[in-house]
Amino acid sequence: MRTALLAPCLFAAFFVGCLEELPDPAKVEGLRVLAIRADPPEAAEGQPVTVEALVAHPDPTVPLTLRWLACLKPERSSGFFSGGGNVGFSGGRGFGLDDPGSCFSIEQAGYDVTYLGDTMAVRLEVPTGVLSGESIANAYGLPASLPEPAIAILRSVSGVNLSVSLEVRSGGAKPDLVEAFKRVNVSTATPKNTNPADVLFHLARPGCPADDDETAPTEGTASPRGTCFGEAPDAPVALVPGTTYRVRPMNIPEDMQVYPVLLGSTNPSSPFGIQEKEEVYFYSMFSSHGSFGDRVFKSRATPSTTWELPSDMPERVPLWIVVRDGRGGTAWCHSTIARALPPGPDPCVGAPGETPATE
Amino acid sequence: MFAARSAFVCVFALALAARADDFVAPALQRFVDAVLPPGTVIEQEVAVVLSITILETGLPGEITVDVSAGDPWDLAALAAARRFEFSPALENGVPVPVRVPFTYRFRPTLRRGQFITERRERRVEEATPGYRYVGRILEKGTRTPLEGIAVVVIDPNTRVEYQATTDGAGIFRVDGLPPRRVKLEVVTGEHEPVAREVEGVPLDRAPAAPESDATLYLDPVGLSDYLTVVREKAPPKAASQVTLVEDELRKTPGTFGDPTRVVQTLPGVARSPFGIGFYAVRGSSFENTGFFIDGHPVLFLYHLLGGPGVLAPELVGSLDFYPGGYPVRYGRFSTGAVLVTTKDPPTDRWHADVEIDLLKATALFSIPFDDERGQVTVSIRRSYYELLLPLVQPDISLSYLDYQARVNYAIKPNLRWRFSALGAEDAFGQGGEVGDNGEEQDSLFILGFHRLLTGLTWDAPDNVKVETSLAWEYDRNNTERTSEDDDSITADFAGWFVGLRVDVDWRALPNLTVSGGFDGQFADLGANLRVPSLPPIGDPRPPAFDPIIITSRVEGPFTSTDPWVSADWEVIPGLRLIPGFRLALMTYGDESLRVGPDPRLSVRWAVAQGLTLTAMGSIAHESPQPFQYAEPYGDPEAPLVQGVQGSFGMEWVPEPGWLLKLEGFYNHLYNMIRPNASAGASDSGDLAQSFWSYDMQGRGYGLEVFLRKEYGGRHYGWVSYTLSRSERLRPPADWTLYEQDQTHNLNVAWSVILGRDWSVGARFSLTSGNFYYPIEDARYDADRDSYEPVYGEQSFRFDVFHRLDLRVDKRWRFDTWMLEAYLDIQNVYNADNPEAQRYSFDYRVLTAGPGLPILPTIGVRGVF
Repeated sequence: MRTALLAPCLFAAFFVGCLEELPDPAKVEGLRVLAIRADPPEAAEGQPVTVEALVAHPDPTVPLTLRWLACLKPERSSGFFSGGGNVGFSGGRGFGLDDPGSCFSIEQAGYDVTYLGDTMAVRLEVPTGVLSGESIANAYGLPASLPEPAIAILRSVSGVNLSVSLEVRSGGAKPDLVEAFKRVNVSTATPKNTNPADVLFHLARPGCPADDDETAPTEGTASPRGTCFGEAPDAPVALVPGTTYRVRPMNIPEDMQVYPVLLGSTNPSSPFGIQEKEEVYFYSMFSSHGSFGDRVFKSRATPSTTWELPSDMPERVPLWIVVRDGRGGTAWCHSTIARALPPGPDPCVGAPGETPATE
Repeated sequence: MFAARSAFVCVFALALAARADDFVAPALQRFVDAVLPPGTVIEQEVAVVLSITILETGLPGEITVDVSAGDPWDLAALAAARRFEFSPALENGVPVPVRVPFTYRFRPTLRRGQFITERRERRVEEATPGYRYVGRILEKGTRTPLEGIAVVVIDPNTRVEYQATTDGAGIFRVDGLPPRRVKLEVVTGEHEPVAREVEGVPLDRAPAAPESDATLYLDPVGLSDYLTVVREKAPPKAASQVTLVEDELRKTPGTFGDPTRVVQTLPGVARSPFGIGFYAVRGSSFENTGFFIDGHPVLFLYHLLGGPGVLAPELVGSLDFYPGGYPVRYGRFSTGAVLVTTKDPPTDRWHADVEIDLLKATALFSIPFDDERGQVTVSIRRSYYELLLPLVQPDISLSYLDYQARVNYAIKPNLRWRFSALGAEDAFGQGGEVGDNGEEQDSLFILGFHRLLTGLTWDAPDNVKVETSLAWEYDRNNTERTSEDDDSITADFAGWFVGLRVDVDWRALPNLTVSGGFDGQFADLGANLRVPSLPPIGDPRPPAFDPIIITSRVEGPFTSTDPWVSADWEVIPGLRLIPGFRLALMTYGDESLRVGPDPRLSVRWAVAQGLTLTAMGSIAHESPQPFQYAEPYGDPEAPLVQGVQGSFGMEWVPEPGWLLKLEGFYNHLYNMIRPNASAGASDSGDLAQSFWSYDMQGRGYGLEVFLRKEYGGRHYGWVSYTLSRSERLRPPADWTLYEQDQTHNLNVAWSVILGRDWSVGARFSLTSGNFYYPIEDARYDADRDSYEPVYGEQSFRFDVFHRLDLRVDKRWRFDTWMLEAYLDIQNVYNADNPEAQRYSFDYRVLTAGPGLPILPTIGVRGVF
């Protein structure tokens, strides 16, 4: 058991602290695709699906051009059937040299893809035949002579992922191009997965009464306009520059959905088995200003993160929070934060969730 | 003829580090006076420095004049030295040739001339009345008794000289002294002269042993390092072999004082990232080169985080590196072998060695017993990272400990028993870490091994030597990660192995040695795992770590019973054939018997004086790693890896101590295992999965150039250059460069021994950068909230790697101990040398990755 592989990893980790800082993924400083939502995230053959993108840019006036394609391409890098290809250790990263591809590269190669449109939200008709044995074998790189029981399990538990690729181009002074993709799962499972709903967050200033873990509200009515804190879009939440706030998710189901997954087993004669898994929500934070204590956090235990606003924050600062369920379901909210005046002697007065400031 | 009597025999200052209890220095048995031409007057002392090769017979061989005094002194000294007789040097009881310096001094004659000579001779031949002085001469610092040192005592009143020579214990007795204070002088040429006033005592009161104040400590000068004997080495046992000894192992700059890290400066060895100390040799992978300590393989060679080797450097006697074609008495590695032979401190008395540097402390103590027939040695080393790390990284803890205990005992002069225990325990932890999800995490990694070894060495009649050893070892490796959000992850590996070796060497004829033996190994390694599974089929990886824990038990018993036979045959003078055959019989995985025949042939042909042609052909088999064959994640049918290698070269010795070696090589590896998760149909038609495929091949070919000045004398070191190409074949792709391919690899390591016990060393490394495929684009995975890189089709190389390491050593000698201090600076000019690239989250920003910065180390060492 040589420590040959462990030693350089630990050694490199030891020196990472001495390295040049890289851009913060939570900070939106240019054209970004922050999320893609499919509704429903898990569909049946022939079912229509609405696919929508969350595209962000620091300059909301920049013109954007979108293009959507859908295709069926083999799974890559999912681990179980990830194959090997020319796997190696290149320049310090493990990699699979072969390009996993996208609908755009498949199109360039001359294969059939489906054009979905050029708007922020498009419609996809799930084709029939996606769950055929041949299609399943192709999707997972399995032998063509796959036994029927295995096909049935894959069809009902794993399904097949249609790939939806999005290309966004921004104009303006600094044109840019971003490509993104999303999986739309097709299966015979019942019930099927749905997107997280009632996305709502609680905002409080640490140290203030509203920030109490025991008493902070855990449920509320989400805004139909998709704001993060339930506010009306024309009545933004005002926050004080140079201040740190805690953001807590609300409306987390007490009993998260439990669903079957297909895992590689430890029994060589039974290569995979069905196991029950409890859903978890993953929260990803994005903004153009400030820094987050945890850019991504989970719904287990006492989920929350902090957001430190800079002292020189502008009048309006965008905030996006994307919620994912780890199995394709996606939702998000968007708020615009206004710059607030400095608090009075008691910083909690006027803070979110606290006693409003008096004139 | 005028005979100059007064010659001082400058013999052999034997190194503390070099002098093992199995080496006996030669001793002058018959001195011959030099004959000068008639009428030659010696007005002042004249010294002629010679180098004499003392053959196994004790007779002088080649004699050269190193420092000339001109005529007639050189010729006279040469003529006399050719008639000297010595007792030969012994290594493991076998006479071996050595080459020694020898200073022949001609001292001015006294006015009384011949009369004095006669009187002196009479004193030498007969016990004379008068007073006696008994003293002892030891080397300053090492307390090594100096044998054969001439002592002169001068009566200041009469100017009469009295002489004596020290014996093996450094003791001398001067008789016939007058009853007054006289002047004692010791002048050797290799030591600072010593003079003091002494007074003899009447014979009936003379002590049998020297009084405590009658000890003189001689301080070596000039070549102040230990070894002034340039031994004729044992002949190489293969076509490609590099043997490192002494300070080459411990003082090569840039190696942390680790003997096994010195290997990375040798030809055929690719530079390993971050100096981790594992090597890709001649295009092979890290696991294809084996490390052995006293004949048994080592699983854990280094402490965590690229720390020092687990074996205390003070106990390393020598290191043999074979980039291919290693002797068949070793096996189970498909390319090369690094053989470490341990040694003990001298058995003449107790010894202690204490060393402290910035990160660790080492203590070693040895003591002989039963009249030097036996010796006990204990050594312990402990890091203190945990005291320093909180200043830099408060959440990280790191500690390691290693120990060795050894007992050697000569049951009979030809039967020696040894026992050793060695082991190490490392721990690395991160506490209070905040994970990606904001939850508190703690992680702990523990590494440990403990080995017991016992063995017998028997010098049997008829030039037969039998060596047996039995080793038992326990290894463990525990990893644990706890998180407030997730289930605990634990991976507990443990196992033990037993190794049994029997080696028989028979020197059947002066030109033929036949060897044979058995090398058995049994290992039972297992693991209890509570580890994350691979992501569910069809589900994307989540945006943050969210493990689904599965439990499993892995067991990987392994047996290997390998008989072997070899010969070393000088067919005609200068032409040596070294054939060998080993039959690897291994069981593992599905426990079917895997047979790996390992034939080997090395040829060394001295075609001219100092010029030897070498050639080698070798096949070697190696088992896969336990996690590659042990179910459920391994493939029980995984075959043996096979290495086929050949080389052709030449060695030129332009003068003693120098070597220039050129060697071309080709190394091909078959049945290499690589990760390749896939599914297929089992024999019963069900879906079956596998994680490995063994269709990968590897190859390396190139040219090695090695220029070396061997250890001994005022400087030593080497220049090593390798021009090579290393490739991998991973079907269905064609041959591509191997990730450790380095077209050019240059290492220059040189040390100079200055006066006054100073030495300086430098090492310069220049290698081609490792290649990489740049990331040219990236796509956002909206399910994973991360970017998927798209690699370019063309590879590039990092900038050339270059680094300079320096080391300075200084020793202070006190009468009974020595203090050494050193400064070792790795990467003196802080070259960047990134080992990898770093990209931003969207792969749009590229920065230099981590590399080893300037790394100074200082240490002090007390040798008692």
